[in-house]
Amino acid sequence: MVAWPDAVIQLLSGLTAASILFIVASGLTLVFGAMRVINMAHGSFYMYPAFILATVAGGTAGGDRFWVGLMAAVVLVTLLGGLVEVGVLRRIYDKEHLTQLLATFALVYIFADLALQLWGGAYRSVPVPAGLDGQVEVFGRAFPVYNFFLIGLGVAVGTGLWLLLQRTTLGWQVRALVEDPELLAAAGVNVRRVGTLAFMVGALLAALAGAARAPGITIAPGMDTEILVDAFIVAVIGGLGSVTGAALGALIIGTFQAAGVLLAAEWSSAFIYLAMILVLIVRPSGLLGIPER
Amino acid sequence: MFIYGGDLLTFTKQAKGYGFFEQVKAGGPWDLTLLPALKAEAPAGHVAWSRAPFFAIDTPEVKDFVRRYRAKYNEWPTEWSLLGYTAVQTWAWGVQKAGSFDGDPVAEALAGATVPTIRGSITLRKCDHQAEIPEYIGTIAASPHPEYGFPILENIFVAHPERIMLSCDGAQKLQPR
Repeated sequence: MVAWPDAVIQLLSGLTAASILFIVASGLTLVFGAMRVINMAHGSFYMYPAFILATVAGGTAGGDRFWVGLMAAVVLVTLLGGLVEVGVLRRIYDKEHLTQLLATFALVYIFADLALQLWGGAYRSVPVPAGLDGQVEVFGRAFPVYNFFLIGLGVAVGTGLWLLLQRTTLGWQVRALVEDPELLAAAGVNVRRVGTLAFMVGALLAALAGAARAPGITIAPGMDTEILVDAFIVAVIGGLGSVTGAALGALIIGTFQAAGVLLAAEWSSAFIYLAMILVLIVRPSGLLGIPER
Repeated sequence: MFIYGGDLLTFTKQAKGYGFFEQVKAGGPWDLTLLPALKAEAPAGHVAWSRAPFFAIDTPEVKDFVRRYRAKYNEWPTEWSLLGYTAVQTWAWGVQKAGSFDGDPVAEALAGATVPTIRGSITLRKCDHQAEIPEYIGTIAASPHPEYGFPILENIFVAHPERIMLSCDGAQKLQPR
């Protein structure tokens, strides 16, 4: 029998994982919703900020360099996202899905090789920033303060995204782009610009997640494709194109994984795939997905 | 602990957050791929082991190797750098002795041979051509080494191969026939 304080700690750990998964997957799903493109290079936008942060703040215990590094990383990768949209994706929107998939898949390898050239293959580590590096006692068990920060970040990003999509001009333009790009263009909106901005928001979300997660993981080549698989599962469960769906999918995967570790550790990695299969059998376009138009 | 590399690095960082290292005494392969990455995050006082930590092998040749490696890559050599270098030295010695680049004669020449390398002589035992190399076990220092910039191992105990390697008989018993 599992003691209930352990279950609470495990649930909080699950929420921490869910929070990061949501931020990454919301970017993936936003880009798919707006442009109908699966961006395979989304994982690269998650890996690069971690490497940038490790370069700026690796091996230091100070807090300032961490936050400066985090902001620099997010800004740089967001701009990189803009460059990718204008340079590559814009040219292939009217092509078939396979071409788009292959083009962004090629970017995964190009970015991975470039990272290897820039930073090498050695493991890197970023310490948790000062001020957030302690532990809180939760029902007699220690829980990292930084994980509460990550949970809070997930909630903040969710709220921010909702406000962006519901309350701003860019937001309604993106939603209109999802519904009917031709009509949006006919209304005199620069659809290309909206696409670029939406893609940059997607890159920003991946970058924010990668930089924020960096202190808890090993920064090394391969973290790009690793997160892509998880983010993709989350987005598919939630329904590609739906940000609310991504939040729901992340919560399901996060808690499924956490419960799996507690109840059947040897099977925990199978749990998330099981969840995906179950959802797809019942609802082929995901929990909140809109069927392909 | 029987995880290593990136998995152990991630484990170390997350376990630290949950206060793991205050509650148990852990032992694991925190080697030279991890200690320079972890620096002050390394779990001080816990037991670590490594197969070729350059700071524990006190020969002039290794010192020179470390100096040149550092000059070329601006990094300290990991055990894999040192093991790789001595492996190539061993292979080159075998090629010279066999007078051939072919695998079989080189293997023949190396079986049971004692080969001079930068870390001293290494014997490859005759029965299965395994190199007899010790393991270095120590506790992780509380503060970074002033020159290297990361914590090294202290109170190092050298476990000699005859005490930690499977005997020839023992190894053969486990091999499929």
